[in-house]
Amino acid sequence: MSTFPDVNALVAALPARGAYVEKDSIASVANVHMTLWRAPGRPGLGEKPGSAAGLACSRLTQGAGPLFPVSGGKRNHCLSLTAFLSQPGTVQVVDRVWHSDSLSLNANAPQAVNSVALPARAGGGTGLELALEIWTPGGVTALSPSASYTDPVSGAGRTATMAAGAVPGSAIAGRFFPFTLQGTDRGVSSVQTCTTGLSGVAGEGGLVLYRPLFELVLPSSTSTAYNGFSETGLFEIPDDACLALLDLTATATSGKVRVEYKLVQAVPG
Amino acid sequence: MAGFPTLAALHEALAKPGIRALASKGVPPTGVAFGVSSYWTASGTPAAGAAPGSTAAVAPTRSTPGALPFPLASPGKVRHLGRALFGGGGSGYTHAVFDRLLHSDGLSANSTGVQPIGGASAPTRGAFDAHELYFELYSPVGATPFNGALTYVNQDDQARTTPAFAVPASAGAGRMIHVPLAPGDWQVKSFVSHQGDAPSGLAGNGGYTLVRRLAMVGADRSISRPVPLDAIFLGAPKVPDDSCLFFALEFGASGSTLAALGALWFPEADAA
Repeated sequence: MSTFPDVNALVAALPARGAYVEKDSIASVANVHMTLWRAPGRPGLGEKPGSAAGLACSRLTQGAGPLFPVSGGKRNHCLSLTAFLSQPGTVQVVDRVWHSDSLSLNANAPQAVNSVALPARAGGGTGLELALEIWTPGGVTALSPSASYTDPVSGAGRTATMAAGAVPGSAIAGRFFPFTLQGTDRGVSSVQTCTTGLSGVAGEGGLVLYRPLFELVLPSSTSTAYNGFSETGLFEIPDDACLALLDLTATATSGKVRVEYKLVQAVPG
Repeated sequence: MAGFPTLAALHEALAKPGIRALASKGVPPTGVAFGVSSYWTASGTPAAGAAPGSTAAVAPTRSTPGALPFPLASPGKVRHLGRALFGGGGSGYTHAVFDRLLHSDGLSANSTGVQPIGGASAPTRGAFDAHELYFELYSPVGATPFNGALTYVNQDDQARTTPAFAVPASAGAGRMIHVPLAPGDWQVKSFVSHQGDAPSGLAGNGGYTLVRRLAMVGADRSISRPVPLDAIFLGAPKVPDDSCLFFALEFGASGSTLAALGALWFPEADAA
């Protein structure tokens, strides 16, 4: 049985609880993934994990979007999302599950990661996506990073890759490069190593495991997007999720981003 | 049963007479690209509000000048926000509909000492939602920018201090400068004290304003007209009788000020 078998069940779960996130515009690159994790705004700068093994993220992690505690077996569902972006682009709302840093962008040998245990909401890693995040730019030579990981089904020894030269020289802080998982793999339960290659300057990179939750598409500059429950599908947000934003804009800045979200809490049906 | 038990009950509540409030406000006194400005002191309907007139925090209500009049609930009932049709001409901005929970003023921007605030605690009608905190200016500060911070009591009765927030040079009246809460905090129960890290050169007049956001309403560039938001989309937030409703203009790339006008509907449901 569905948590919301009909619209009456949804109406009965009201009122919803509202929360708001706003990120200032930062330097970007047109039409590529950027993370807004370290963009100023509300919440402020996100946590820097401080190690290659990284930290599990939760709603209490510095930089996570507001999320309300649940009780009585209830779960949070997204009722609506309103988003403003000061220039054309797509904003992706993600659950940042685990993150790391301290990886050199100037090393040919595999660098140990050995990620710390993932939080329970990772569900063993199925559906998680893996990306390289730039904390400090490396040198001018493009990179083709790879990472060895454990897949929830296929097991250990799997290799995530990127296209040749996918990470351009001097990629700026905040660039976010998703990996392609091996074969038919559909998730990551742990990461063992990362091989970045030689850019010429160490810089600093990190890895992120995340679960995409929703996309907000704003094709017109200074437009507002409204997504009601039929658009959000009332997707569930784990009660300890670390809500974060990625964006892809058509310009060299990320743009001002405002997102208001309304959450209804209900016991699973 | 509290709230609306069925869609039919919601529709029935929306069909009742006397559930609407109209707003039409002139431009706020200051506009800055990507900033936030308050309509609190702007003229129109509701009539202009004023600086709180108290360094100690005060909890404003529906009776405070500047608050939007909306219909009282019947005995045993509580109003909800059930429809919002709101805009102001132009494009490239959003409007916020806020419930003003707590405010203060009388803080000097020309002092680096600890300035006690104290006063009232936030009313419980805000207990359900995430709070937002602003440093609101009622007269301009001086030409030297400074950072401020508020010591406050959070939702768990812990004394906390906000991360520093930047007050720009010569920030004008009407500016609402967002104040981040300490990591992990989502509500403020009371204000304790304020401190700035440099004299701005002019005392000005500022204070803290605590709000809960009822709705964010945008204006689309292509149509430049308001988009009606329904009760389910809005989440039907509770609007108890003592709520102090007002509006803010959240700018995009242009800091040009705009009027605000619209209609809000307040269907009522059983309170408990």
